[in-house]
Order: sequence, then structure tokens, then C-alpha cells
Amino acid sequence: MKKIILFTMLSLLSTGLLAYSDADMDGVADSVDKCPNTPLMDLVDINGCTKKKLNVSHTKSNSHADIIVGANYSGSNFASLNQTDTYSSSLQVDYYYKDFSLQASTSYYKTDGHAYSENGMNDTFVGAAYNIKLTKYLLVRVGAGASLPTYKTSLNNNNTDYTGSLNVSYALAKTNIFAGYSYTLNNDDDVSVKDSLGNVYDYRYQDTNAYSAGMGYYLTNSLYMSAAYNQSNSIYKGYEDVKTASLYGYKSIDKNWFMTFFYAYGLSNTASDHAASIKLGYYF
Amino acid sequence: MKFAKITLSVALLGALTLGMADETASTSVSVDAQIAAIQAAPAQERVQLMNQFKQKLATMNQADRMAAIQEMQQKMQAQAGTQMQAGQAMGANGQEMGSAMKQKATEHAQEMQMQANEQMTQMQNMNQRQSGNQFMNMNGGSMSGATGGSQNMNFNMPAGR
Repeated sequence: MKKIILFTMLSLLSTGLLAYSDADMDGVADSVDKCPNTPLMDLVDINGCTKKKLNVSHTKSNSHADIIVGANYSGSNFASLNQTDTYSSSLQVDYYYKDFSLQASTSYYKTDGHAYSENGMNDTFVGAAYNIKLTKYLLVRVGAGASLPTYKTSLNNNNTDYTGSLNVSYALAKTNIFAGYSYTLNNDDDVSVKDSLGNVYDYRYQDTNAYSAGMGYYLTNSLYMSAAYNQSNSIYKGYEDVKTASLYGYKSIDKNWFMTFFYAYGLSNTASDHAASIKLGYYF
Repeated sequence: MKFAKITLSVALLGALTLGMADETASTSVSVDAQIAAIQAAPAQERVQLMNQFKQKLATMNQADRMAAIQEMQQKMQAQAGTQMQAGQAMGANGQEMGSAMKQKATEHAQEMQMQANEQMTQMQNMNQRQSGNQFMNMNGGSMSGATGGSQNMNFNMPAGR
């Protein structure tokens, strides 16, 4: 008789444990919960019923960061150089504190052209920016940065360049209209190079003004796409502006991971014919 | 000097990133401990521990609270074998969490878009710098004062664009 009672009790207990569920996550099993579907942020009594509503903090975390790795390509076919393909892998780190942000990025490239191949570090960019939310929809980003001369050039004239930028973004519902301007102080030294035949090649640099404008659209809550036009002075004096049309995408994978992809088509002789990148980032 | 600048910049960013990672880790450990205690507690204590957990959630910022609730859901579902849908247990808070996630993704996409505009210019400038270097290498020139005829690199396409 005792064995039967013990067996019955164990059976009931194990059945109860296996069937345990607590849909409103209040700590009271659904089978005995007198108030199912209690709001999560309510404190409950032993019956699972609200005894106090909690005031929830609506503050956002002040600081965030992200780390982004990317694979990039640019291809050009200039009259003086013929087809040249450049592949690079990039690393970017951003740190955000409230409306202030710091940014650092660098990349390693490999260039292959007709009878030419080279690889090494590109310039490294470090910068800071401040976001000003003028209205609910209008965001202004003011930035300053420096391109550190980590790129080793045979011209031996690479110096730190400084950039100031102003970007505006107007986001209304699912649409984002944006425009940007940046000015770069190009500090590379002018040089003249003479070849064995006595021909002289001049490298004369200038500061650059760059403009961009475009429109983006949130296709879903996690996918954003945009198209833009970009124009900038060439870094060399006396050359046509660099003009491109570009497509850009941002995909939020989950609360931490995201991807960006980008393609640009060259509209002027001084631009790369095609440029593309795909990047994977972790935001925390 | 160049090396010193780069080292200083990387060190600054590294320190900031590590500092924040440490803060995130300590919050995560505390939440983990509370969830483990709830899971291990007998039924009569579970309500009390769950209430304590909720009080902690209420003090967190939106992002941390969202992460803690998701972690809690995953662990409770794994333990109980229930198929609760995300947000089902949240009641009115579910909408808040979804809205916060959407806002976070939107703001980050907006930031990345503005960075992309600037990076486009940086990339094209770098491309031009590399082309200049390539042109110099292929013509085998050496540094010199200007003598004889002067020529410059030709960016034009061979067959026009």
C-alpha cells in the first residue's frame, strides 16, 4: 500500500514538474496562477496577482561601441595605368557617449594592375563627432578627424591630413533625406619626379571640398537602403572632380549584430569605375 | 611621431572600449546569478525572487532591460520546455521593448549612413593617392627638380567613359 502511495505521489510530482509553465513570468505556475497574463513589470503576490506596479526607467544607456570588419574592392581603368584592382580588409571601432562619438578605422590593401602589384596599410583615420538633434526629425552631425599617414608611398610625401565635416539627416517615418559636406586639408608635399628620359611628372596637391546628398528608406524595421550622389575635388590640382553615384544598405541582424553593404559607380574620369564593400559589425 | 600618434589613438579607443565592456560584463554576471537563483528556487520562493528580479529590471536602462528579459525568457523556456513567444509575457512592456529596439536600429543606421558619406570621400582620396604612387612606380622616375618637358598623370579612360 505504501509503495502504491509513494509511486502515485512521485508520478504526480514528476507530471507537475514536466508540465510546469509560467507564461506571464511572474514566478507562479500557470496551473495555480489566479491572475494569468500579469504585466511583466508588476510585482505579484503568491497567487500571481498584481500587488504593485513598478515605475520603469526610460533612460537609455549613455555609452555604446561598435566594431566593424569589412571587405572592400575598387577598380579603375585610367589611361595612364590601365585596369587596376584594389582589395582591402578594414577594421573600424566606434565609441559613442551620449551624443559624442569617437571613430578609428584602418585597412590593409592589395593592388593588382598591369605589370604592377603592391600591398600595405592604407591611411588610418581617427575622428570625433557630435550629434545635435535640432528637432525630432532633424539630426546634425559635426565632425573632425585626421588621416594619419600610415600609407607608404614611393613619393615619400604623405603627411597627416585634417578633415572637418557637417552632415544633416532628416528622418521622417520610413524616409531619411541626408546631405553632407566635408573639407580636407591635404598636407601632402608637392613633388616633381623625373624619369630616365628626362620627363618630369608633377604631383601638386590641393585641399578638397566634398559634397554628398541622397535619400534612404527603411524597407523593414531592420533593413535600410539608400542612394546618394557624391562629388569631391581631386586631391591633385588641375584635375576633374571625383563624382560617384552610390547605393548603401544597412541590415540589423539582431540587437548586436549588423551588416552594411555599399556600391559606388564612378561618374567622372578621376573616380574609381566601381567600388564596393560589405561589412559586419557588432554593436554593444 | 607618426607611430606615436597611432599608438596614442589606438590606446585611447582600446581603453574606452575595454572600460565599457567591463561595465557590461558586471551587469551580465549579476543578471545571470539572479536568473540561476530563480530557476533553482522552490515554488514558494520563486515569486519573491522574481519580484526582486523585476525591481532590478525597472532600474536598468532600456537596452540592458531588453537584454535581461530576453535572457530570462530563453532560460525559462529551455527549463520548462514551453513555447512562449517573445513579447507574450511582456504585456504592455512588449511594445516598449519592440519600439526601443526599432529606435536603436534606426538611430544606428542613421549614424552609419552619415559615416558612409564621409568614408566615400576618404576611399576616393585614397584611391587617387594609390594611383599617383602606381604611376610614379610604373614610370620609374626619381625625385628631381623640374627640367625638360612636364607631364602629369592622365586619369582619362582609354576609350572614354
